[in-house]
Amino acid sequence: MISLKDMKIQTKIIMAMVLLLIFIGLLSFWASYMHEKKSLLTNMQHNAVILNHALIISITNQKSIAEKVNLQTLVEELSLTEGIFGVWVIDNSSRITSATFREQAGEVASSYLISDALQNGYYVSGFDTKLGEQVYSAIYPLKKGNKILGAVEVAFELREYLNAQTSHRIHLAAQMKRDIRIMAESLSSSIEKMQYINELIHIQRLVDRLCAESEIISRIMIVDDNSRTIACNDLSRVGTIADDKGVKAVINGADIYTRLAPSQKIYLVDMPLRIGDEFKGVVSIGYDARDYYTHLSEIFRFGSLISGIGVLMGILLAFQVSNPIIKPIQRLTDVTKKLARGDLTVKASVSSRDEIGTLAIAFNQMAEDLARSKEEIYQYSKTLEQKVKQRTQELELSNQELREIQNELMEASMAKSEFMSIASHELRTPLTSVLGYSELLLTRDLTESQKKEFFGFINEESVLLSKIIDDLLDISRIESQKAFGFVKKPVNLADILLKDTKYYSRAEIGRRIITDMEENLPLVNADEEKIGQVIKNLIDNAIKYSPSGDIIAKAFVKDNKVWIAIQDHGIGISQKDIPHVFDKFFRVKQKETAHISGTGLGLAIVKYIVEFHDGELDIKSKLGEGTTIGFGLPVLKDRDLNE
Amino acid sequence: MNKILIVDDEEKVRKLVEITLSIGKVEILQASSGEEGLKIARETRPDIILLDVMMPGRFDGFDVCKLLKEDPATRDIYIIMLTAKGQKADKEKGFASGADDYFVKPFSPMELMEKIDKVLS
Repeated sequence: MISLKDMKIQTKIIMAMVLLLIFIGLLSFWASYMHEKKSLLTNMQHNAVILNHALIISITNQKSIAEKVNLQTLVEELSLTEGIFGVWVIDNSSRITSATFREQAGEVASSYLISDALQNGYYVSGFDTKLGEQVYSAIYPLKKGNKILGAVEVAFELREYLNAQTSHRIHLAAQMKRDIRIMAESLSSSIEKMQYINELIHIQRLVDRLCAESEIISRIMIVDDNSRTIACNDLSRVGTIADDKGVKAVINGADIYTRLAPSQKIYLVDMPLRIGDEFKGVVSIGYDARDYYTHLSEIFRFGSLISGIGVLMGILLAFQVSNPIIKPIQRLTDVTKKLARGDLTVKASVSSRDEIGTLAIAFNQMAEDLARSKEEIYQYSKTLEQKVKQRTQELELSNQELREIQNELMEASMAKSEFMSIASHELRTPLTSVLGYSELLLTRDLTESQKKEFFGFINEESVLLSKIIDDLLDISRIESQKAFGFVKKPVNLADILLKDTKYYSRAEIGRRIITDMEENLPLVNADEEKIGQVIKNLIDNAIKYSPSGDIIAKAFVKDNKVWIAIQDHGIGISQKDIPHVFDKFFRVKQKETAHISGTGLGLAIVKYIVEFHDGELDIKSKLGEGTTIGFGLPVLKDRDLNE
Repeated sequence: MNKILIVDDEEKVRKLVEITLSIGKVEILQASSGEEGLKIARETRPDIILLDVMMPGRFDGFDVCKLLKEDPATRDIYIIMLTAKGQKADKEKGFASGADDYFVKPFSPMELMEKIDKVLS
């Protein structure tokens, strides 16, 4: 089983790997794109440079460029002459090669005078309008042999002439005509003297032709060493200062400078123009780069498409991989939160048989267990509460019992110490006689009859002492509740009663003991000696507490028991004392009983013995009338007898 | 002649005291209960009363002692409690009731004689 923590790490690793793959894909795409772009560029550069070289060689071979510079200088110097409005050099196709107004270079001269001069090859002059100014213009053709190469135009300002008086104008016009002719002639002659005038004025043509003929060349620009554009297929540029990077770099000494101009979609190659070793200017050729851009964008689009698909697939893959892991965990987390809030009825859906599924099953098991535990705890606490209640009640009861026991114990203790006091008295009284008379016998001269009497006293009192000691030993045995030495057998209670009554002589007790017994009494299972003691104790009590009157001893059957009852006609027992007469150490406290010696154990012994025989006690008494105390033992059944 | 009254329900004890004191020149009076003892004491005004505590009848020894000591006529009689109740509490009860001396049973007749000689001299 994989732990949840491991699973999280696994998911993270998978995500990281997918991201890494996407990254690598993008990187490789970028690398291939750059590589493609570079190879395209290199290819183009290669082509362009070769072309450029060829072009430069062709331009340089014409060796006219140096003169072009001089021509412009010449025109400008001439322009400074007072009264001259402007100077133009025009090739044979009416295109301005050089002009006082540089920006006019490359323009086609539209003056009719020029076309006249070029067509016919002779000097023409006349009034004209140049740039909104009234001028007097003179055109002198440039010839080499019979071939017309172009023309030179010089324009004079007409302000002075127009301001002058009419009479003066004729003079002025004549002078102007003369001057201007001289000027145009001298200029044309200077130009004609220039070695490569033919080629010079044809550079623009060459440029135009190259551009028109070649499909791959978009731009050709020739710049002099002062950055002035000499020729360009874009005529608006001729005569302007070229200040682009390539031109500057080459002027500053670079052998070649190539760059892409994305806005114009051209590839520019700038190279120096040298005549011999002398730097003369810059040739800048712009190759059509549209194919390159098209190609590049195609590559880019294709690459983007591939990369996009890759990324999408990566993301999908990542979801595919992580969903089966994350989704169930998320569900499980939600369910766990609910559980934590105390909703024990929640259940996690088990959607798979994998570790997550096992986890969900385990979770459900746990939730069930929790709910059951809660219920159990609730039940248990209820039970506990009840138990505590019950126990408290029990404790209260047992406390009550304990208090009762304590009271009983205290009463017993008091009874015992009272018993000790009584026992002490009972023992000390005979001892007084024994000790006193024996001392008299030892210390006095006594008569024989006196001696005999005193020995008699000592003997009597010693017998009494012995009896008291026996009683005390009996009590001690009962107290410790040790084996009393019962020997039960089927007996007739009437026999025991008769036997006991024989102990009491009428002379001794001063009255009769009358027996009243039913005939054929059923047998009972009893210890003869102990039951005999019970009957004796009862008769002793009857004698002790009745000063006179006969004592009646009855034997009868009642409620399936054989009863013996001893009745006297003595002092009786008060109602409040009746419940206590069978208690150990209890003695009725009355003036009438104070002289009656006893241990308070006679009836306690009776009770103990009767109870041991599963018997029952009965007492009836009234103060001043007498007391009847009896006991009944269960009738012995035949079945019991057979056993 | 000095008179000594012995009050005890036990005849044997009364006889013992009588014989013990018979060798001296004293007159011995006897009573077997508290009531009887009280009656004789008032009539004869003995010098000494030997008084038992536990006796049958309306008055026990303590009652008799108390009654005699409360009566100015019998107040001067020397009362010796003669009892089997030898516990400290019983002795205290005896002195509280006005007894002059206390003898615990069993007692030595010789000691009793010496005591009485001492009281009478």
